[in-house]
Amino acid sequence: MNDSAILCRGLTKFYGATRGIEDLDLEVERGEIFGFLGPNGAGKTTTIRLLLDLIRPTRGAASILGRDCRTESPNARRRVGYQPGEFNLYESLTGAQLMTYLASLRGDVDTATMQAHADRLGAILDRPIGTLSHGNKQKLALLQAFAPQPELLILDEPTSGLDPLVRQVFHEMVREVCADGRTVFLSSHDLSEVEKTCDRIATVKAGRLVAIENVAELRARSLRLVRLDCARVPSVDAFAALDGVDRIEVDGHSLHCRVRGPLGPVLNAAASCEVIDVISRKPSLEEFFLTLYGREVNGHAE
Amino acid sequence: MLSSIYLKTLRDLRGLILAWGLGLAAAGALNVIFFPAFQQLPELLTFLKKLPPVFKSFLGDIDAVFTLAGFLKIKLFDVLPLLLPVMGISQASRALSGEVEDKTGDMLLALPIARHRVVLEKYLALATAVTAIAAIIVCGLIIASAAVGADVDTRFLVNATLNGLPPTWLFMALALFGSCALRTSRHAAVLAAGVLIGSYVFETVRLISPMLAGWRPVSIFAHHRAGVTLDSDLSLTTAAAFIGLSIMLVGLAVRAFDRRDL
Repeated sequence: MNDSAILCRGLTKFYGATRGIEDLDLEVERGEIFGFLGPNGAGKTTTIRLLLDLIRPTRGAASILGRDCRTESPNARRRVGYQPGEFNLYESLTGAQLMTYLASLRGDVDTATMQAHADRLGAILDRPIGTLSHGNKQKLALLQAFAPQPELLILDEPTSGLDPLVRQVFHEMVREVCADGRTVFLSSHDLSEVEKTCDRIATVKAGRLVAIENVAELRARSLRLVRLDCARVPSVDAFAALDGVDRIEVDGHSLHCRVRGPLGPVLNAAASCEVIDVISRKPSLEEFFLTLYGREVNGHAE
Repeated sequence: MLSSIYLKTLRDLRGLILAWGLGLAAAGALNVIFFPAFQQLPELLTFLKKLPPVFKSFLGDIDAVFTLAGFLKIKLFDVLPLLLPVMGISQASRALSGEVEDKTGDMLLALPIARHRVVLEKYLALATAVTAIAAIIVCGLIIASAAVGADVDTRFLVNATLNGLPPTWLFMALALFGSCALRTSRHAAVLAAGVLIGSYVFETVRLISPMLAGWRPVSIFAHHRAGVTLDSDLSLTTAAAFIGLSIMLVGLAVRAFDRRDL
């Protein structure tokens, strides 16, 4: 018996010779917002489907809220809300009928809570689902996941197709879930979304776990793209000697460089050039992600 | 109407139940209404009696064809266990793999419900649907018989129609098994339809081939034909055998669905 929201040990799934996910060791604590990041085909959805016992592992094991996903299914899913990444809803039903149906099968959904969530998301409940746009279907998928107020929310690409306002509502709802001591496992390839909401992230690539990082630490370790506008032409040599500084380019009175780690030494070195302006672009998670995946981050700070 | 998988499935099938039920009831009613005209063709009886034995074996008792019960047996009740399974197979083959293909299955099966419950409720709903179709057919036949004052035993109409249900349940169970065990609903439909058509062809050949006379016990349609006699009650033994086989196949379907990846 463990107290983790999600625990995977050597979780592996092969589809014939094709690797879905291999030897995944992962622990998600209760009460955190955990991002699961990776490009398409990295194994994110495979992992989620293993957790929900929709597919069976080739080897390894996983548990949800202390219950084995395989041997204690469906009890393991009793306290889970799930929004699939790729889904269709029953198109002949209205949103309200779909919620009634799913709530009847779950048996623990409060109608008032469901309605409150529907109002927040702006979900359309009175029209046949077949007539709704992708974004409105996505709202229904989110609604059915949030409405039972589960202890663990597993969301696969949750904001796909949502407009910015609804995204904002979604982020609020996720933070409220976390504040309530419940857990969110959020799979995405939208890096800004994970950056906004998550405490920790795991990155996967080609079916293997690459890293598990604290989002704040991850930002600190990653690159900054810096531009110094100076009164005098800056000297490359003054910066080339600094640790963690590379890609130094001088363009007239401006100096562009890439800095890994704190900016202090760069600013000290820049003092001799009579700095007029400093532009330091905070690294996006995307840039870190690309670095992590072995691709170069190019570009300037402007 | 949406409080269980059973009721949701029945709701989804309501249009089909009405279409097939009313369509077959109308076909049966037309046979009842036009039977008197058929009866007034004595030259047809002469023609039928001159047919080679091979063809006569398909018709059974030639004289009985000129009673409404015998006429309905050939025109409706002998083909009902072929028509109802076509509808049943088309739906049962999509029952589970259809949810996967339509991408509605993930949301359903991520709920805290056991997979066997999904299989059983879907099958029960399908079995209820074909039973409802049979009920509509019986009602149509009884109403048409009463309307034209036909001389036919109501109990025969009920029994002969109900006799088409057990084979239908069996083929649906086979299609359901395919839906649970095979990758696509198309494969499931091909499996069940193949067995249905193969069984029908086998029975047809068996009737005209003395070499296959001893194979009667394994012919599904031979058992069905034995149940639609003009003067007997429904064969409960035969029905029980079909139901037993259906239960076995549904059990295998549950097992297959529980083991498969979605």
